[in-house]
Amino acid sequence: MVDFQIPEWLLQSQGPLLPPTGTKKARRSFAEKSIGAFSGFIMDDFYAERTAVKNGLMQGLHPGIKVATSLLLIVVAVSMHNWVSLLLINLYVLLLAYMSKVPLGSFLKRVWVFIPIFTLIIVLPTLFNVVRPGDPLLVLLQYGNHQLTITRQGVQGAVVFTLRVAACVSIVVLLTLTTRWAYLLRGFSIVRVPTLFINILEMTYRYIYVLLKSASDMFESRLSRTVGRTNTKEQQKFVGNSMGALWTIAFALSDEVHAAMLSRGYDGTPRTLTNPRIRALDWVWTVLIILISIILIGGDRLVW
Amino acid sequence: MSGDEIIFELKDVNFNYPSGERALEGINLTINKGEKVALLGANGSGKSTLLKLLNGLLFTKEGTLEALGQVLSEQSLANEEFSHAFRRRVGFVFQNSDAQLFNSNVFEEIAFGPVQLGWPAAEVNRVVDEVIAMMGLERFRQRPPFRLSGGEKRLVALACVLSLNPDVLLMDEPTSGLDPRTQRKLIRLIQQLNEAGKTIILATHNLEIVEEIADRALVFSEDHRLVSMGSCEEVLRNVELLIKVNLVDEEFHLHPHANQILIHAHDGEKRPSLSLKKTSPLMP
Repeated sequence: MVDFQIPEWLLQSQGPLLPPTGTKKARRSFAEKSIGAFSGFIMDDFYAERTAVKNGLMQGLHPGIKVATSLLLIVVAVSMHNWVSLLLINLYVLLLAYMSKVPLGSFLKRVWVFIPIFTLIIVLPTLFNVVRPGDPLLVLLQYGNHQLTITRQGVQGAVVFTLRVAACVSIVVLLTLTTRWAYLLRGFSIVRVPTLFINILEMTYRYIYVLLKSASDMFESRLSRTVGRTNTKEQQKFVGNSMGALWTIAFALSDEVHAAMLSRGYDGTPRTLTNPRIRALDWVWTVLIILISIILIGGDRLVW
Repeated sequence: MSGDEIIFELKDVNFNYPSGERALEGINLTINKGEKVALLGANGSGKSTLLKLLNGLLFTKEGTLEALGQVLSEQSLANEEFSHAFRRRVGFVFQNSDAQLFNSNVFEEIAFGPVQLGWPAAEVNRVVDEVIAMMGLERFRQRPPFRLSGGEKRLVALACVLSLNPDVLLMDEPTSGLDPRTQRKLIRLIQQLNEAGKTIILATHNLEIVEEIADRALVFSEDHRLVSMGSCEEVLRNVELLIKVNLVDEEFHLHPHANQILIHAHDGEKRPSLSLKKTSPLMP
């Protein structure tokens, strides 16, 4: 056996570990906090399907009926033009969430954290008279006969658009929160969503967890090797590099996960332990949703 | 334990990865019903690839592979009836348990296979309950698999495959990373399953346990060829071969004694000795 030529410094001891002194606290980095919060959410909330197993209103419905009626509600939301009817449909979905024992705080957060960000970017230009002429609501700039104003029509359009997006997102979030993943895929299958699309969803779901675990491991191993503080720029660089490395790992893992599914008989058809049956409640629900849709559309076009 | 019924028959099988890299070269092999076979070889020698070929997850373009008397190909597995029948009979425990465990709790994880094969719910529940009881996994029943330790994950991964009651069990490095007690438990289970007539094929480079979990050893070289096969005792005695295929280094020696084989180092106190107890009869 050939001995290693160990450099001198590697043979030195670090000396005894002294008790902590001073008041400087070790802060968790943004990368650490983000990955911790994200994996916590995915593992505990998403995978544990906590809300989906509760004994609430929508959890008891047939998945096919639930997917079909959710689609109907989305069509209704998209075809409405009045902010009153859109507000009503948002409140109605909120009521359904409450009756399905969905924690309202986290439900609202999920819907309203992203919507302002994305819709605001889209509707921002339409607020101004230069893009969409209308009655001035607020004059921002005046130069001779020319002025830059926020218009009443622009604000109305923005409110309607935001409420419409919020209604659609709420319906989808409610559907996914109250339906176990396997049954949701069954629901898609029942309403004739193409198998290829379902397969992709199925794989993505199985796979996010494995990928996230790799990401957590990578961050943990970095944490164990981090001595002292790193600045935000360094952390951003690390996150960027990690994404590249994860992409490579992800590619290899997707094969492995798919093989493990095939090996246990998965053939692309979503199957569940129990076959959901359409019960009286499902018919009552369907009739109710159709009635509400008619009222909302009618109100939108004729009353409000 | 071996009978005459052929489980796998490979003739001149070559396998290349899509990148063109060779993974297996000229494999000729027959595995009979009820055998316990260990695939030995260094990392990257092709053991895992062979297991995936045997499980119909990869397909060879050169040579023929027959499983349970039928040609195993992409076309044959595209047939739903055949595919279900094959998956039911041949189970595969992956090396990476994390890739195999993807359901929201242990119960559903073990039920995944039977559900995919369309078994009635009552039957699935009964089978899963019995497997959970057999493996001592009751307290993990409702726990998400990612909350389990490495050893527990491995047991659940095995339970997932056993719920299908396969006739053939393929295992990739089943004991790697396990603590001694879990390893012992797993070895005993493999032995019992084999005694019940199941064919066991496993890949390992843990020579310490080979004699306990296999009757026959197949040795793969680093250039992806099957270079030797024989009883575990014969193979383990052939130190020259083991060195050549990078399974042991020059400082390890085998010392057969009355009831055990010792593998240990001769370079002073730096290396621990490994003791292999013979608990199963050797193949002639």
